[in-house]
Amino acid sequence: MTKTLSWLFSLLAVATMGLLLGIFIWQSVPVWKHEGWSYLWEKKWYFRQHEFGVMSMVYGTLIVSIIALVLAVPVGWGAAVFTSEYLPRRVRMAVKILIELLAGVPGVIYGLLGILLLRDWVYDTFEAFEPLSGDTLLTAGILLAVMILPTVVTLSDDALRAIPSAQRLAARGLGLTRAETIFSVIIPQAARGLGASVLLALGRAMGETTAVFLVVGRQDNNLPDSWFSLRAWLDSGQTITSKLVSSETNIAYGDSIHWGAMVGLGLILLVMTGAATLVGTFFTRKPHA
Amino acid sequence: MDKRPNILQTSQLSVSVPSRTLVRDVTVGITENQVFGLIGPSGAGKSTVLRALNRMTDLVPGLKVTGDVQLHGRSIFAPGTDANALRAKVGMLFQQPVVFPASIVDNVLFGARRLQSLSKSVQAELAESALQEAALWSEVKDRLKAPAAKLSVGQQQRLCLARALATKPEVILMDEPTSALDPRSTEAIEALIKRLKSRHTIVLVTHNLRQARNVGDQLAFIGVRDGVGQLLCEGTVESVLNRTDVAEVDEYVCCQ
Ligand SMILES: Nc1ncnc2c1ncn2[C@@H]1O[C@H](COP(=O)(O)OP(=O)(O)OP(=O)(O)O)[C@@H](O)[C@H]1O
Ligand SMILES: [Mg+2]
Repeated sequence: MTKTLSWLFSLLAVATMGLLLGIFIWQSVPVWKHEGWSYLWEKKWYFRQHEFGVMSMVYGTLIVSIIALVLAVPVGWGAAVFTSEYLPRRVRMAVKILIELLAGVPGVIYGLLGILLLRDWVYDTFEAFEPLSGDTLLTAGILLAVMILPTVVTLSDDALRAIPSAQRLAARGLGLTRAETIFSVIIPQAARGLGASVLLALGRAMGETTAVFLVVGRQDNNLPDSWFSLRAWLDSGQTITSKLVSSETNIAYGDSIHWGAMVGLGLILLVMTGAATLVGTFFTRKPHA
Repeated sequence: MDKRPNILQTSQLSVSVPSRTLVRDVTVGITENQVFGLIGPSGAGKSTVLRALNRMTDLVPGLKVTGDVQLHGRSIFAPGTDANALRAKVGMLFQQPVVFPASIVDNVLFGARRLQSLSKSVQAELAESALQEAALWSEVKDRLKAPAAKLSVGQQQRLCLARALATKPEVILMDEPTSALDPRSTEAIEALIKRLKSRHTIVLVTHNLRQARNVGDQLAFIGVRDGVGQLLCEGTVESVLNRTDVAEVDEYVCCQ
């Protein structure tokens, strides 16, 4: 009975996902016909000229997400080690509730905070690089880091807490210090869960929309020669989500190629976030369980 | 009476949690190179006393230990005592074997490695001697790199013993080390305990009176009086088990 049910729901999940992908592929057919594979590699997006290349937005999405991960993961792992291994159980529960509250704050609120606090800070701090404004990829990345931090912390904390306390006691009984126990017993065993927290946070970061929209500057066709340069990150940019949520989407609806190009962006985002989430979920499963 | 010095001496050792006292005023001396048995009904506080002997009690939030424990005449609670170094010297074997998800040899060297940086050859020697001492060497010498979790439970318990032995402890605390094992593995551990006492001192919590008789030299009975665990009598194994004047002992022994 449970087996049939679990099969049924797995099938339902796959079918739903397949249907979703199907719709997006079908709706984006015109742009694939129009651009071919160069839709993926082309750097320019000028919809009036019917030129559609997604590269600069893929760049924007990847860069803000990477900045977010680089900032959030070390802090998040550190915080998780602290909550899981150092805090007394009851304090830990309180902290977990606080973190879950933070995770539930709507993106637009973070966006407003970003405008209020972060934009000027980035502009002033990196003045030496002469940014044109405080609306930059870096600003969006930092804001995203704050937003995905709770995800990294809770998932990592769960992963660490899942290691049986008998393992801790056995290690301490051998004379290992708490720090040694954490590094040689707990973290190695929680590694998969810690990795999964990164991938699931990455999925969130790539899909986050409103907050990024408010601080990223939304400048089309910004694609530097070198993806990894601080100067380039101090320019305004465009992510897949900030593009899709802009008014261009409404304009596009009347034009099947333009609409196809917008839906195609959605498709790419879906694949990117889906892959991160899926890999992350498989990561959490034990290899032999 | 034995003239050898007490390697471990507790005086008025009490352990309490905020709501109540778990064990009170335990004063016992444990002679070097002996097997000191601890028996008593479930919940009396045997494990609690045992854990106080190497300050594992520090790791339980809310647990308060008063009184004293002396190792070689020095208080283990004295300020400046390194509790981690103490736990390497006073090792512990738990009821259930806890192996780390690593190879057999890595498990053996787990505690020893941190104590000193060892060269490869010294590591190999140490692993072999610890496994020999734990009577596991012949069974695993061809698969030292195999995962420890693949061993049988009885072998895992001996692996845990080897792991503790690799840190060169003077005292080994064993908390019902055979209660999860089959009769043959139990026999193996008991034979081991008898051999180990030539070089180590062993404190053994057990519910098994046959085991206490078989391996024990001295015995202490911890029973519950007035809702608090207390040391009710101690002495040689037979003298304790034959105490008919202590009601709790009498009841415990006859009901086994
Ligand atoms: N951290 C704790 N907080 C509250 N009570 C505790 C704690 N640890 C142990 N106890 C209580 O202390 C008493 C003694 O426990 P202990 O485990 O030492 O008994 P034991 O003699 O080893 O029993 P068993 O033979 O069942 O192992 C029990 O009543 C137990 O419930
Ligand atoms: Mg016990």
